[in-house]
Amino acid sequence: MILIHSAVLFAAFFLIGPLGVRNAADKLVLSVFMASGLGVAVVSNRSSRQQSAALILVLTVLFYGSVQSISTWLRFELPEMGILGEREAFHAFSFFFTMNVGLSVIGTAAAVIVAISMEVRKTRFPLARLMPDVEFLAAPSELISSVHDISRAAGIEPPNVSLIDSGDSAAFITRSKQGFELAVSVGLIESLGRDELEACIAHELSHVKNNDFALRSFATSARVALFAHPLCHLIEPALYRAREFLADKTAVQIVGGRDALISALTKIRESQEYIASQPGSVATACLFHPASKNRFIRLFDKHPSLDARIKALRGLSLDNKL
Amino acid sequence: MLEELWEAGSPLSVRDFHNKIADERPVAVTTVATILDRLYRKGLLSRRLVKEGGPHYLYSSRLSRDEFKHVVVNNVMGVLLRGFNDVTVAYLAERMAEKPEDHRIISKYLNRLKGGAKK
Repeated sequence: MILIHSAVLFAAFFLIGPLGVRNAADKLVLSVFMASGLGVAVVSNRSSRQQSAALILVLTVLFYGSVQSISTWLRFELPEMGILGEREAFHAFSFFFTMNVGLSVIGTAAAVIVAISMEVRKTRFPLARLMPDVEFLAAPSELISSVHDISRAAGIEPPNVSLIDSGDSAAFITRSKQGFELAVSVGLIESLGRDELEACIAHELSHVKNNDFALRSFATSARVALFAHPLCHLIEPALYRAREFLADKTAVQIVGGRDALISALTKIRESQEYIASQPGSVATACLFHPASKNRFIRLFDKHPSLDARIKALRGLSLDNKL
Repeated sequence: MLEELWEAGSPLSVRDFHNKIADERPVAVTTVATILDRLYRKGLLSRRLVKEGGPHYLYSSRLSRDEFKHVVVNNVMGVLLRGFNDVTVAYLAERMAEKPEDHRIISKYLNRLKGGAKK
């Protein structure tokens, strides 16, 4: 009987999440929030914005539940550990629960350290030091001018622009000592038409416009803090994927059409099929990261497949406003 | 790709390559760029970045057609002779008997080797 109880407890913690909250009403409210968030994330597959908001809600509830668990453990469970009484069996058989809370303490501390060190690293180092394997060159004035025009259309401050010395099709945006840094490979520029290239640049700038860097930092910190919770390892990559779809949608609105982005992604998909059979390259670390073909592994992938992105773009309503 | 470069006799851009092969093989420009990048990384091509008219590379071969043939044959035969020496030599001997032209070439090389051994 006790074994069944602990098994249910164990399953409930992993599935529901906020079990560590001692107050029954709070527990119910948080569980409802979390179940609703998961429900919305699954149902609203046409809206990346709604989907990512729902996933953030779930992560927040999990994070709050974890903090509450730690507080409960410190205030109530820990002092009772040494007392032999009727709750002893509960403590003994809720080993996984206790372990999870214990791991959450370590996880939360680790998350804070990791998040701070990541931020410090990003703001102190120049781009070349953040990515030592990639060779960066000064961008030509035409590219800088094009990025400035697209930034103006998007309503954001233009980032610094660099050229990646590679024939691969690659582009990414990141934060560094100098602020936001957009890097575009020579291979991408020489392979795509002007409209296609501008659509790819607009996708990267959309990550800034949609505040994806702040959301990614939060999601990564929550995942580190809740690393003992399996749900987090699905939610964080799902959030990243939702933001990629949203960036495509925003890019379409910035450049005023979806054809250029679809055409660019279709061309890149073809070269990716070639890359898939080759060893890693710069492209694997960038916008056009090749997604796994295995559907289960894809659940843990932070980038959606190009097929999925092209399909989503084709189904996009052009009436959407920014 | 290398054949196109040898035929052109001057460095080619990704677009040049794509224009040359598009009729025979309908591939995307991105795929041509990726393949050329791989050949460059393998040391078969050299490239120069040109910023005028939009940044692009101009690729040229590091080896002539004959040098390339020598490299390929050396690599393939080296592996075969190291791993399957007797079978490889037997195969070459059979080929010698089949074609008089091969026989003449191999005999010439064998005589040269014998001459080298006497010295």
